[in-house]
Order: sequence, then structure tokens, then C-alpha cells
Amino acid sequence: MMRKLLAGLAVAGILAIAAPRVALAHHAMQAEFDQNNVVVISGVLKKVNWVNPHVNFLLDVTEPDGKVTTWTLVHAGPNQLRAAGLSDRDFFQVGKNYTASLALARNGSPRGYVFTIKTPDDKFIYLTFGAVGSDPLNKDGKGGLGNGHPTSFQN
Amino acid sequence: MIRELARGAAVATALASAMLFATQDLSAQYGGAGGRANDDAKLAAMPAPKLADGHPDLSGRWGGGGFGGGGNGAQRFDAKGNYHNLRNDRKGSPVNQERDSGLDQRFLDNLPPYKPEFWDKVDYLDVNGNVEDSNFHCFPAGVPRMGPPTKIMATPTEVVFLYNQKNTWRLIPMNRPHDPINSKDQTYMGDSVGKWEGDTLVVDVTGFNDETWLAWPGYFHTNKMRVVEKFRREGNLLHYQATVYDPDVLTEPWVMEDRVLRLNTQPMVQIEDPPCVETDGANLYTKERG
Repeated sequence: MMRKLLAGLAVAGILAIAAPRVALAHHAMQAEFDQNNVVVISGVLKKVNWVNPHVNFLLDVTEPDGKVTTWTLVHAGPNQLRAAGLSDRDFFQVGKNYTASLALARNGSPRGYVFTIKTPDDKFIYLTFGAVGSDPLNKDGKGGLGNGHPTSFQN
Repeated sequence: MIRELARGAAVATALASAMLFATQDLSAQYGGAGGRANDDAKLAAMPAPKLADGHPDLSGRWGGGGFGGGGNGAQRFDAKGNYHNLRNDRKGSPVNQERDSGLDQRFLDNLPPYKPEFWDKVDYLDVNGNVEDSNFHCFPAGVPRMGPPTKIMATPTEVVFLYNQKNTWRLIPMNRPHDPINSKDQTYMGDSVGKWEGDTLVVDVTGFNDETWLAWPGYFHTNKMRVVEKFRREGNLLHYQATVYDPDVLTEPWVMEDRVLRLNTQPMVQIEDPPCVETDGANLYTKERG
């Protein structure tokens, strides 16, 4: 199932790289988020905002004291994610539990830039790599990237 | 002065970056199979269809042929079915990717030839692009920044350009003067008229606002700008070139980088560009752009 849903993801990295070249609106990730300040949160997917310039996912996270905070998880643009095979409505199932590692917003708001997503069926989607070791869901920078160096699977 | 010094210092990085992008462009089109030059030669040699009036028919969906064409997708899943996004960035880092991209866009050899007194303004706009670049705030990129169309529908009397960006379009009437009202308006796409020069479609555009930029590094223009776009079909390749005339701020016309697009023969599906709802601006912490 996951394999099928994500089959189109083969070009995701390439598209993400190509995007700034075509002069689309693109804020720098590092201007808003700190790639060296990564946390893991789990919660219930509340809503998917399929919009430009960046798709974002709202995750309702229940704090230890019972208070629910809605986090905004930011990633690539909708056309990039669509071309990557990630637009399937069955993949983002509102009401189900997702876990994600994310680079925290520098301004302290409950926002983050997604590194890794753990899906309801316990598969890991390694979307982004920061400094090796900075992602608790991907401590050794695994994924055929050789500790963050894309060699073995490079096109 | 600073710009010149910085340019010299960054040549090595820019070159490396340019080479990297050349590799990525190739990969995007052929999924890593390689052979772009050979394939382009074959595409160029293909017969190009003609319109009823004998001119080349530019109709078709252009570019984007690499989508879904990744050649090693299976390798991106490990034995457990986890997905790995393979990036060609330095250390696979999006920060490195964005910084390299910024260098790549700032240090092109082909800069718009601004009159000396306007470079300070360009530098200001560049440094403050997160605020000043209207395209960051969901306004259209406009002509010429939006580049060539995704799809062309051509007839002898009118050519239609369709763009995936913000679901926009342009109508290009052939062989007639500019509309007296439209060409005095101030719009993002301007008023376009087309004519044939040999086998090249020449589109003259005027009537712009001064909101858009020519490119990402703060390259502004005035509302007196005129743009001439040239389209030439060579088999199943489309050559696109744009020249910017803005004598109030440029010392001479700026000929932008040539673009070559391939005919996309994959079945056409409508790809809606979702609305732009910008929320990053209020959360930006530094001025850095990528």
C-alpha cells in the first residue's frame, strides 16, 4: 500500500531542488526554522491545507496536562508533493495518528519544518535531512544516503 | 564594488552549483538515464507540424517530461517499505540546497545591465526580498519572470498560452497592433501581440505594472518595460528567449537566458495550482532567502 502510494516519490528530491530555479515563491527554510533544534511530536491529523507556497498539516498534540495544541507542519509546495505522489487523500488520513520530527520555528510558535513522518501503519517517510544526528527519528542519517552524503543512490 | 568582489570570490561555488544543477536537470528529464544531448538531437530532428497558413504549429504541452519518470524509484524503499527521499544537495541538507540556490541565482554571469545608480536599489530589494518580493506574497510572477508557458494552443489568428502557475493564461492576437487601452494599463501579464519572423513567433508585450521582478535577486523594472519573447520550434524542441527593454533603468536591453523545452507527450491531465495562502512571512526570523 505504502509502496504504491509513494511510487511517484522517486523524483521528489529532484523537484524540490528544481523549484527555486523556476522562481516560485520560496521562503528560506532556515529563515523560519532551526534545523539544529529538532523535536518529535505525535498527534491526530486535524487538517491538510493543500495550498501554495507550502503545504501544511495541522496536528492536534495532547500535552501531558491534557491541553491540546494544534501544530502546523510545513513542507514543500503542493505541486512538488503531488508530483512526488503524496497528494493521495488516503495517505493523509484526518483523524489518524501521525508522528513527525520537525525543525522548530525560531519564533517559538507551534510550527515546524518536517524532517521525517511516521505513518499510522508504522512506515517511516524520510523527507528531509538536516545535520546528521539531529533528527531523532533518523539518528544515523540512514536511507542509502551514507550519513547524509548522497552517493549510493544518486542519479 | 562589494558585489564585484563577492562575485569573484563566489565563482568557484557558483560554477560547482551550476554543474550540479546541470546534472539535476538531466536527471529530472530522464530519471538518471543520461544522454540528454543525444536525445535532444533526436527530438530536434523530428518533423514539426504546420499550421494551416504554413507556419510552425507550436501547439502542445511543453516541458515537465520528467515527472514520474524516475528510473530508480525502487531503490528509494528499503526492505521494510520505508521511503527515502534522495537529495543531491550537499549532505542532503535543505539549508545547503537553499544557500547554493541563492548563490546560483545571484551570481549568474548574465545580470541585467542596470544603470549604476540603480544597483543600490537592487541590493536593498535583494536583502529585503522576504518583504519586498511580491511573488513571496502570492502575487503573480508576471512576464517575463514566469517563463515559458506550460501549454500552447496555436491558430493562425490567435495563440493561447496556458500556465500552471496560479492557473494563469495569456491571449496573443496575431498580426495586429497593441490594443490602445490594454497597452496603457498596468498589469502583471501586459498586452501581447504576435507576429512571425520567418519560423520564429515573436511576441511583443507592454502595459506592465512595476510590481513584479525580472528575477529573484531584486531585479526590478518600471511600468515602461517592454518585453519581446521569441518562440522557435525545432522538431519536438521549443526554444524560448525573452528580451527586456526598460531604458529608464537599463543601459541596454537585457537578453535573458535561453530556455529549451521538450514536447511532453505524456497524456495531458489538468493540474490545478492550488490557491496561494502565505503564512510564512509572519513567522520569518531572519532575512535569509533560498
